[in-house]
Amino acid sequence: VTRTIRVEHLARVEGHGGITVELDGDAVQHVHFDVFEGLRLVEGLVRGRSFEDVPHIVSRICAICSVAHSLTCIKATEDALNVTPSEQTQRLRDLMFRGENIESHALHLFLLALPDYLGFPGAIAMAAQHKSVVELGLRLKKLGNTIQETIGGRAIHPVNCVVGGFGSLPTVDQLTDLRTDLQRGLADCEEAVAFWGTLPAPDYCRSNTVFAALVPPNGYGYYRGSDIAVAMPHGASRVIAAPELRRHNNETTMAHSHARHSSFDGRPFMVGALGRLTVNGDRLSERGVAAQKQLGLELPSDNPLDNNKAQAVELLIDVEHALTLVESLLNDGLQPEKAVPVRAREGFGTAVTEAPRGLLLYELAFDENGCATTANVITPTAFNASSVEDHFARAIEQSPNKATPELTRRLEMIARAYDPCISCSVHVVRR
Amino acid sequence: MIPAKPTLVVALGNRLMGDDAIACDVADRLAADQVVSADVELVVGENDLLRIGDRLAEKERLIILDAAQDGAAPGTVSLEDGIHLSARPCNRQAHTISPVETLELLRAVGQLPADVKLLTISVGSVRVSNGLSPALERALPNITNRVARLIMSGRGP
Repeated sequence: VTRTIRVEHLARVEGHGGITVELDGDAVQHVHFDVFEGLRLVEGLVRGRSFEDVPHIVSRICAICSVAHSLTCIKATEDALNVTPSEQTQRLRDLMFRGENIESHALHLFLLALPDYLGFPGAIAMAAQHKSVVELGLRLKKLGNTIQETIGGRAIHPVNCVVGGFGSLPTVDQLTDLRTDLQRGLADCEEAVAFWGTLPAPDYCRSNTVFAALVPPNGYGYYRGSDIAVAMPHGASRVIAAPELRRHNNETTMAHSHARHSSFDGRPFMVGALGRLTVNGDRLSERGVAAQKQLGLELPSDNPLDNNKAQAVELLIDVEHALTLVESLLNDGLQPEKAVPVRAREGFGTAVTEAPRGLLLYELAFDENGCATTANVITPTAFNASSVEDHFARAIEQSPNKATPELTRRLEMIARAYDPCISCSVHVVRR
Repeated sequence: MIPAKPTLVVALGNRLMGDDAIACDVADRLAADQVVSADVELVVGENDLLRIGDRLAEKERLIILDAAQDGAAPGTVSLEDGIHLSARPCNRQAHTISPVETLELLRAVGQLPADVKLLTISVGSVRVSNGLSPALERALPNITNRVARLIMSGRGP
């Protein structure tokens, strides 16, 4: 007897997607993470545009990840045009990444994932009974917004980030206000971790998962560096340079998805907060280690739902690190520097960073006038598309209750644990 | 305490989707021409209202400015009371917490101003393109004037 489990519109994720599973008896025949979001087309839109325009165009790929898209594009452009930004610029960019991560994780944890744990269909229904928890999430989200607005110039799609540096710098008063907000935010994060530590830990999908994440030169971060570590199950790992990633990830067009699928040398791999903690967990601060313990998060984890706990850990360490960054900028004094001058030239650049949902790859080529000739963007959700299907299959195999409603609930929770950004993930597809 | 700018106008729209960006263009023009009074704060929210949700709580009056495919002639400006927003059909947005859901969520936690209005500009087709259609581009000055009058008066057209 065959049957199909179908989720036409996956709720509480970024973008339009669905799930289709075909079963023969209890055996899984086909598993599809359906991505039918309209084609992104942005790689085509930037062709012929000046390197100065490109970051502002690619930012529109997604509002929630607009900092990551802008700054990864700038990083790839600087690689192509041989530009080295100042240390102060790198610190401010690092701070922007923290802001985006705080905002995105707060949104995901408290408004998208949490209703599953508390048994509500969505955040609006949940807010009626758990007002203080929703308010906590909204406060943290606001903190992330404030960081991005202070440094990036706008709450949505930063206008202040340019190739070589920043258009203008924050004032001392702005940074002082931000420090006060972050000090308050640290207490909110402690509360958030404590709250998530009280929630039940879903445990119905165990899998030998391959993880990949950026390895920053120092500490735990999302922006600096160009090495990627791929952690295999049972402890083995490999480190590759960003330009080599395309040789390994075997991007493949799928009939059921506008997002191409990736694998690492033939194996699905997972990126995101859990991947970062798996690869860089030994770099956590004392607070981060305490949060990990409080959440009961053991690494390496073979449970994709632990990505939610990993995001809660990051929420805390990002606020902590952002506070350290702001204090160091205030102590050192902001240098009134201008963006590094950029000379248009022919070149090709690659950059990887960690967007909130995981590895983000940009490849850009420019002609002698500094106009883009080709662009390639691979987003975390595209990297994850094959892995999420693998975890869907494992969850069905391991679920004792094979009734369709229960399987559907479990599959949706796994999809949401990945925090997919489906609108980001769609590639131009040529068949 | 009364905020310095008690009225917040948030323009929504996608600038890569042609006429869907009409509200953003009108807001840009309002800001450039300084035709609304100093107690009105203008924000171009593009496609994510929740991202600026925190700004709503401190306001007395919120006006959502958005494009609408409502069958009216392109360029038609309409004002309605936001209290009926929850009854509107809610299409799935690129970001699933849609503007309507965002308003409901903020209402649930008491962070929505009492006075919420939806100011819409009717558009025809919405498709991937840079810039407005020629018809709306030509009508932009008139549309902007009508929107400005409605923002300042709070009354219907």
